[in-house]
Amino acid sequence: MPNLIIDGMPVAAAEGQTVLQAALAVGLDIPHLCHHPDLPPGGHCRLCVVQVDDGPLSASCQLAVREGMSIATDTGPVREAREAALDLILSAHPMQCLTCASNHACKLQQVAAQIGVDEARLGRLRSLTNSAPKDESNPFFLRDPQRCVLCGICVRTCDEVQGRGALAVGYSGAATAVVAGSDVPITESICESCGECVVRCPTGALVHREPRPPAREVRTVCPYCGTGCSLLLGVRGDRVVSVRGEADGPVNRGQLCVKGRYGMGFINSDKRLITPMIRRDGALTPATWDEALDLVAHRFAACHGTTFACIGSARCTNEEVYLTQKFARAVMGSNNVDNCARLCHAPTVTGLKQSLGTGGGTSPIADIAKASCVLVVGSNTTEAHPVVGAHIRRAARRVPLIVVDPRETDLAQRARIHVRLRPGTDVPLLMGMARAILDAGLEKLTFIEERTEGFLPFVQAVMAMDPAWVEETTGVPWATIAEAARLYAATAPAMIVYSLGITEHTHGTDNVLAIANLALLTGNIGRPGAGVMPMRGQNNVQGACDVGCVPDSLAGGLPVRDPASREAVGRRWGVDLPDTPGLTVMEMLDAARSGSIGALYITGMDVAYSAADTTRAQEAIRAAEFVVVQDILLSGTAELADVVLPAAGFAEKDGTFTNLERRVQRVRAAVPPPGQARQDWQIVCDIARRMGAGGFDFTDASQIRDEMSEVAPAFAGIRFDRLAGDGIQWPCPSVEHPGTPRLHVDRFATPSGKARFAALAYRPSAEAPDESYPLVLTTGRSLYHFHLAMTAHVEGLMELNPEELVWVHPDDAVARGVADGDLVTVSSRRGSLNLHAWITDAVSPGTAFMTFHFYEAPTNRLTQAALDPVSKTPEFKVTAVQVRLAGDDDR
Amino acid sequence: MRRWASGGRPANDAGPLERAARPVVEAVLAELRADTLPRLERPGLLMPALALLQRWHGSIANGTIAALARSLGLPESKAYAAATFYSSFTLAGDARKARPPALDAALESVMGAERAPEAIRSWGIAAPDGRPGGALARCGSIRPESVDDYRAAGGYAGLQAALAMPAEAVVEVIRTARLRGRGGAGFPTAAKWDHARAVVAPDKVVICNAAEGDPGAFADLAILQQDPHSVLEGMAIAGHAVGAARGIVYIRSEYEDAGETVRRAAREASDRGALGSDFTVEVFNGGGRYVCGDETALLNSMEGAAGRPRLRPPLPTEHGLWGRPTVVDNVKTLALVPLIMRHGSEWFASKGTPATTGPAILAVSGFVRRPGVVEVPMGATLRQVIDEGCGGMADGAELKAIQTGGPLGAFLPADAVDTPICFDAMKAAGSPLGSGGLIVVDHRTCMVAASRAFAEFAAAESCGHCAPCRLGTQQVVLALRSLMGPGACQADLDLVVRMEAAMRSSSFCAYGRSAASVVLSAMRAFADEFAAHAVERRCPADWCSMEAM
Ligand SMILES: Cc1cc2nc3c(=O)[nH]c(=O)nc-3n(C[C@H](O)[C@H](O)[C@H](O)COP(=O)(O)O)c2cc1C
Ligand code: SF4
Ligand code: SF4
Ligand code: SF4
Ligand code: SF4
Ligand code: FES
Repeated sequence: MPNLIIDGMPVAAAEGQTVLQAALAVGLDIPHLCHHPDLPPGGHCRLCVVQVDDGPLSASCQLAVREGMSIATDTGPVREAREAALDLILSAHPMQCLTCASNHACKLQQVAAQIGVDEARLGRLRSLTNSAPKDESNPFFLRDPQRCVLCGICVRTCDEVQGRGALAVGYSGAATAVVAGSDVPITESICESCGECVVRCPTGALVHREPRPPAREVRTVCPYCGTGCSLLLGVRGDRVVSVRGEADGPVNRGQLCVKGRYGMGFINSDKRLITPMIRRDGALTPATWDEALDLVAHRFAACHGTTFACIGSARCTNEEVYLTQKFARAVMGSNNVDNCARLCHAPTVTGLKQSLGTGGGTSPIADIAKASCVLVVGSNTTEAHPVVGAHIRRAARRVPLIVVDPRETDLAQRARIHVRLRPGTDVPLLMGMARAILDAGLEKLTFIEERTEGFLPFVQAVMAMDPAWVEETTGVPWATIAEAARLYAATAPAMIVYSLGITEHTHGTDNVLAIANLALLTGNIGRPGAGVMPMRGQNNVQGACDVGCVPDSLAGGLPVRDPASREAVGRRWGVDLPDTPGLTVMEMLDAARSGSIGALYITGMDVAYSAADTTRAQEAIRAAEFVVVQDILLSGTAELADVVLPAAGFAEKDGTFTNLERRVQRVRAAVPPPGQARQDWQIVCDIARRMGAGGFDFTDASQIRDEMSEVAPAFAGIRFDRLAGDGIQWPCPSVEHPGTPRLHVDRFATPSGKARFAALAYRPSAEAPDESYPLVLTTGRSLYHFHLAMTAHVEGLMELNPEELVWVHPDDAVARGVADGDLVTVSSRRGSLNLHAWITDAVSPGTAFMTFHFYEAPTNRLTQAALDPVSKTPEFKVTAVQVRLAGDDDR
Repeated sequence: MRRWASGGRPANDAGPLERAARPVVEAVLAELRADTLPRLERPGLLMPALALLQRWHGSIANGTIAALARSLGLPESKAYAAATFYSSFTLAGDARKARPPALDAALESVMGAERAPEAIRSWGIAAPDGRPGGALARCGSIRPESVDDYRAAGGYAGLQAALAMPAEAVVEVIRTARLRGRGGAGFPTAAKWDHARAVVAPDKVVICNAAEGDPGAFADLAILQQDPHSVLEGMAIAGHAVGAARGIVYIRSEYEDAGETVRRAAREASDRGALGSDFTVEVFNGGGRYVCGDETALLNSMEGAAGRPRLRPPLPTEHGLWGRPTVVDNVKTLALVPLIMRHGSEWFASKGTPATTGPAILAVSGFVRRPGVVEVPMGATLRQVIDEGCGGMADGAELKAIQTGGPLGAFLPADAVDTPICFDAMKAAGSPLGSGGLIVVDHRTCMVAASRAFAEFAAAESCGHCAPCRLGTQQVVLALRSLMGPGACQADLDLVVRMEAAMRSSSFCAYGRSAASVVLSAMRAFADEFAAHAVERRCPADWCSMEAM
């Protein structure tokens, strides 16, 4: 700890600090403009100069502390230099503060006041303002180069925080300016509209379009993806007017992506559901709560047992989802309860449970920064989980990144090695990597011996993967596979990040097992920087599975089949629980189609559009006798319902979400629900009570949490009063327990305590391309949308990404006479869609890509309901399609 | 069709312009043999590639930067920022960047400074055998690229001597010769080498700084054109001393032909094994920015970034090109090294002054009879250089001042003409020796106009990184322009003084700290002339039009 003297005062600085940091830490405010605490020093403004040991001046933001140095921050020379630098900066600034959006929040105003401006002195300088035009291309923020002080903070932010590199300081001399891309409007550059630079810009050069100061701010958790960023909702009256990243957020440290920062327009949208609706004469018409609830209770009462099915919402709080499954089991006597994880990460739960004993990610997100190598498989992290993506991009600046993906994603482009496999050939690829590791002798034998079982059969299965065959099957040169494998194995600790590219296959569980195999083979589990991290999609999809909203387990992962677990939970609930696992989402839809579902209760899931093969899914919903949809917006599914119940959104409720690193975080109500909308848990309680059930007398979400803690040992220590700050990562068996950031440190959660290798064989995807459907369609997310309804009600997001496009490789486009922007028909064996084509070599020849965010072109009309036999997750990632110019006949 | 915003595009989605530019970019990269470079170093091809594109196509078309950036693994913004930073690239559709006024032309008109690298005179430095022994002694008498000619004239003997010694011993020889770097700062070369030698790293680099951007400096050019092997030999010796196998000559874009000469010489030297068993030399063409002569800016520009200076520490000897320990030495410094190894450090130290040993290699231009490159022992006076080296003042010209140290230097008034040439003595007299360019100013020159020419240069060449220099240089220009016209006033002078002080005390790099020093020195030495402008609105040299139109 270097000791120095600042203005005569002894200061104990931390190692590696700059003089400015040391001074600020003890409350000594040296004027500064281009310094930002999150960023490395820039040294642009020179306002922070100090005198060192009575000698020359030095910029304190760049000056490392040294033992015994003596710093003067307010000598004559310092003042003169500071005033001159300030005058110069002001001479190039328009000084129209009253019309500037940053007025009062401007760092330049602050330092000017701090240093002092003498009008006569300043007046001797000539005006050096520029006349560059504003950039108004972005729907969320404005750039005004005239107000730019060239502090470089935006550039450093985009490089260091967002890891994107959209900006740079271009030109030189008087022409020096911040440029986006080749000095184009920012929306034409690779800018992701995250707004991180806007937040940090000290002046009015980068400002939000509608800055509305909030009256108060409420800390809560982002409702979009499973990253679980903490944010502050700014409230004025009953409206949410602003969003900020919470600087103390354990995951995001203040950072947000475009959806988290700018995607909250749906909260106050006039499209929100504000009254219950009942279908009368074929049309949904407004009704009172009493009418609606009576009807629901009445119809549900007639469907006790397995003719009742319920889909819980991965968007709702843990408390609500817990209550939903309790309702299904305790009141309706049915294990037919599931959530949207079935369509995405169910294979993660089944796979990781089988191999490691726990169906959750092994490591905290912060561990990515501790890894020496990051392997990303089937995850377009920068778009689907943007803040985790930024973590990976930052890591990739230091350590090797390997990306396995058929598409050239943003991460793939930054990767040391991009393994561009044929869709659906994950098992051969990952087993091939295992083979290359074994061939090179890079397996960690002690780890394997001490902590795993099933190694021999695994090795036999691996050795059956002949390199030539692997190369042929995956379409990746063996040398590339081997290089990637060796890099991963030899660079410890290494982290694997994967997502739906792994799970959404008919061999999804096998894929997950293959991922776990690699980590076990190389001992990359249970240590800082090593692990397996599934990127879970929805904000609370982890939680929805954890609290038992799945047909085969109860809260905390207790198996339905296990009599003792049933007993324990049933005793607490005062009922006997049904003992056979129920139906999964896709099975419920099949059952409904065949007429065996009497009542279908869907909360907060747009299953009619997000299930594979939507034509079938919609038929199924129509076929169900009685369908209740509870949601915040009139989703496509709600339009098919018999009763629609208006629910409160995340900004209107108290509770918890669990993010993809198993972190249970507090969600807090910021505004009242619109109209007559009500909390989901209240609605469930009301229905239950109307049906005469006990155990639904909660008056507050914390009571539900307390019950859950009693029922599920893994959550025993997770109580609201412990969740004020960083939240708690389960398992957390007692109120003294700090939670478990990292799983499997000493033993695996399997009965034997050892992890299990899986001997896998290749099973081809359900659908192979043929002459009529020669292309393989894969699907994925866009940065600007989540699923369908929420972001559709955020204008700016719609502006940035307004419609569905099908991405086609130039070779395939030429073969079909399709040009960029042409209207094409994409057809599969199940249906067809008309949409515009986007010609790009981001997809490989023979493949096409679509997102699934638009009702106008519902992508899942094309996908098929072929299921992974273990997890029952459909194969969204491999669909055989044809792409033709719209209007062309079948030839 | 409504386009997705680019952030939603796949990162490699290339627009039509970029796709169209791909073949050209691929051709350029093939020519540069990009595939032979390690991934880490590929961004460094940005400038060579831009230079080739410019040469082949006259300017750089839209979309090319994006295509190039992608191929080199750079964000497009960074590549564009670098391309627009340098003055030698013309980007289609870039209206913003008006070319800065060429200082050489301005100086020629104001002060008559013209490059004359072919005229070379070396005297007063005898080898131990009594024959002419200066660094320029061979110039003009050998075929520049010929290893045989160079060897016949005693070349590569220094390297042989060095290779026979341990690295520490080579550094010791340089230390006892008390060689000071000729690039401007006069830093002891042995100290720099020792630092680099002490760092343990597998790859180290020796860079020859041939950025030579000082207006009025052309001695480096003369050596590169006429005796390139002396520089290559010096680099090989440095490589042996610090443990580097790789040498790179960073040459300013205007010296393209000299670069070719060096390239051919290096090839021949390699083919003939003249550089020792494992030392190789490449040539890197710069992009035309004065500040790239600063060694840290030079490193940035070699890494494909805008050539703005880096923060020090770390020093290049610790963390230089691509993070490798790097020694950057000036052309003249390196050309002197073989002499020391051949003739011994005592011989070298016996030439010159105690503070600055060895020969001074100067470029003299302006109002002298015979401008050219002059080599004399350090300690000779400015007067001797003008009179004996350059045949005295030009016809009808009377000495008024000598500008030394380039744009970061100063004007010495005529009465300082007996100052000995030596880093310390010159500094004491008020004008740094710098890299040895002397511009001789005659009595008809208006010092305000001459100052303004330097001020314009300073503003145009500011890298733009920091506020005092970027904006201060502009204020100085505006003040001097005002002084040259009917609005001239004392406040203009005061402002220059204040700006100079601010820049000197708080600029980010050495450029800004001295970017107004030439002007200030003129104001001091020729206060009357400035006062005549400011107070009487009169130009004594009758150069400026002081009357309102
Ligand atoms: C703005 C600026 C420009 C410079 N230009 C040159 C140059 O053109 N040539 C050169 O050799 N050194 C130049 N230098 C000095 C170099 O930074 C470095 O000190 C020099 O190359 C070291 O070589 P030496 O030790 O042989 O002098 C410049 C320095 C600054 C600050
Ligand atoms: S836009 Fe803002 S953050 Fe960026 S350089 Fe200008 S003033 Fe700084
Ligand atoms: S908004 Fe985000 S991505 Fe865009 S320039 Fe700013 S920091 Fe970079
Ligand atoms: S990364 Fe996910 S949780 Fe974070 S702000 Fe974006 S959408 Fe919200
Ligand atoms: S002083 Fe500042 S603006 Fe000037 S050249 Fe150096 S870094 Fe660039
Ligand atoms: S804060 Fe130090 S130079 Fe700007």
